[in-house]
Amino acid sequence: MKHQFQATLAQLEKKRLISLRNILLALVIGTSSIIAIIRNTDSYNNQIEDGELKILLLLAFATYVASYYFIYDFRITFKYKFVKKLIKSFGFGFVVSGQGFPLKDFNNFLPQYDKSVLEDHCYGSFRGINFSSCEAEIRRKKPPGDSETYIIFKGILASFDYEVKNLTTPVYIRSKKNKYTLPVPHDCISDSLVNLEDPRFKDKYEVFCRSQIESRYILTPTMMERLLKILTWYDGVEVYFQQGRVFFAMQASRNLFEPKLFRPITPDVANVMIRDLRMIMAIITTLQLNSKVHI
Amino acid sequence: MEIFVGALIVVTAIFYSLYVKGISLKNAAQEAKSSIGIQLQKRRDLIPNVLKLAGKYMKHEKQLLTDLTNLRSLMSKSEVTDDFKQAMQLDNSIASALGRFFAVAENYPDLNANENINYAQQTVSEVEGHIAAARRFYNAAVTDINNYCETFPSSMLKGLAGAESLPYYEASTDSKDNIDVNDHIS
Repeated sequence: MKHQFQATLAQLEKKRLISLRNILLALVIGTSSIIAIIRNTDSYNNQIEDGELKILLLLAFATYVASYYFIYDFRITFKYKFVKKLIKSFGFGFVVSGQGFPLKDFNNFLPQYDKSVLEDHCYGSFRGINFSSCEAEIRRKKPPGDSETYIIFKGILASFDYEVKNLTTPVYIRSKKNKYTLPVPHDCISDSLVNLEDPRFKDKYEVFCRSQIESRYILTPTMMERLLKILTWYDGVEVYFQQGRVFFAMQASRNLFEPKLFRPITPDVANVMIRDLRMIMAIITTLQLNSKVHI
Repeated sequence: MEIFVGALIVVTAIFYSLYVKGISLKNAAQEAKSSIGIQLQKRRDLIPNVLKLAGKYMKHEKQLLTDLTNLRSLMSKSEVTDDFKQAMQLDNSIASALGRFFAVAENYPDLNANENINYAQQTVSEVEGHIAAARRFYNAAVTDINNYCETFPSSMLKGLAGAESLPYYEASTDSKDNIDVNDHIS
C-alpha cells in the first residue's frame, strides 16, 4: 500500500495545503469586508456610500461561499483520487454520491421518511457474501404545515447476504444505547419481548420477533456473543434479520472516509480509511455470515 | 375509613395482577412445551422419508434403520401418555440415532450423491436448530414460572392461578460425556 498510494497521498497533501491557503485567504478577505462595513456604518462616521456597501457585502458573502467550496472540493477530490482507488484495490466498488444503494430494500426496516441523503456507497463481495453499505442521513418532515425536517437516523446502513439459516419470521434487534431510536418494524411487533438467557445481551439489546422460537433459532448463545462484540464498535446498532438478508443500521458520530482539512495527509490517514472499510468487512467475519455450519 | 378502603383497593389490585400474571406464566409455559412438541413432530415426519431413501442403499445397516423406526414409534406413544420426561429421553435418543445415521451415510457415496438425502440432511439440521430454540424458550418460560411459584407473595396465589413449578429441559447424560474422535474416524 505504501508504494501504491504514496504519490497520490503526496498530491492530495499539496491539494490540502492549497485549499487551506485559499480558505484562509477567503476568510481574511471576507472578515476584512465585514469589519470595514461595521466600522463605516457607525452613524457618527458614515463614510461608505450605498454602492460600496453592497459590494463589500457581496464580497463578504462570496468569500464565505468560496470557503465552503474549497472545503467541498478538497473532500470530493480526496474521495475520487484516493478512497475510490483504495476501495477498488480491495476488489470492491465505491460511489461517492451514494447512487445505486438499494435503500428500498430497507423499507421493512426503516420507518417512513421524507428525505434521504446518501454518500460513500461501498459494495462488493467478501468471502462469498454480497454486501452494500452507505452513509445515510434519513429525515422526516415535522408536523403538517412545517417544511422543516428532523433527523430520524444518521450513520451507516449496510445489508449482507444471509443464507446460513432459513427464516420464516423476521427478527429485529436494537441496542439500548441508541441516539436515534428507530421504531420497531411492524412485522416484528408482538405482545411480548423476547427474553433471552444471556444477561449481558439482555442488558445491551432488545429483541422483537413474532415467534419466540424463530428469534432463538437466530440468536444462539454464540450469535449473541458476536453481536455484543459488534456493539463496541459503534454508538448504537440495529439489526434486522429476514430471509436471505440481514440489515444493519449503525449509528456513528463521525463520517467514514472523510479527510481532515487541518491534519496532514500521511499514510496514517490511509490506515484510518482501511480501518473504516474493515469494520464493515468485520461484520461478515465476526458474525460468520459465510459459515455453512448452523451455530 | 377512606384510607382503609383505599388500602384495600390497592392490595386487591396487587393480588389480582399477581393472579393474572400466574395464569399468563402458566399458559406461556404450556405454549413453550407444546412448541417443543411441534418441532419434534417435524423431525419425526422427516424420518420416514430419510429411511425410504436410505433403505435402497444401506442394505447392511438394518440394525440402525430398525432402531430409528422403533424410536419414532415410541415417541408417538409417549406423546399420547403426556409423559414429559420420557419424551425428553426419547427425543435425545432420536437425535443421537439420526446423528449416527448421517455419519454412517457418509460411507455410501451413491446415497450421498442423491440430492434428496442432502436436502433431508439440511432439513434435519434446520429442524434440530429449531428444537434447540424451542428448548431454550421452554426453559425461559420455566424460569419465569418457577420464580413466580417460589417467591412471596406470588407463591400464595400459585394454587389459585393453577401455576406449578416445572422441570427444566436437561441435556442427556450421553451428550455431557467427552467426545472421543477415534470413535468417529475409521
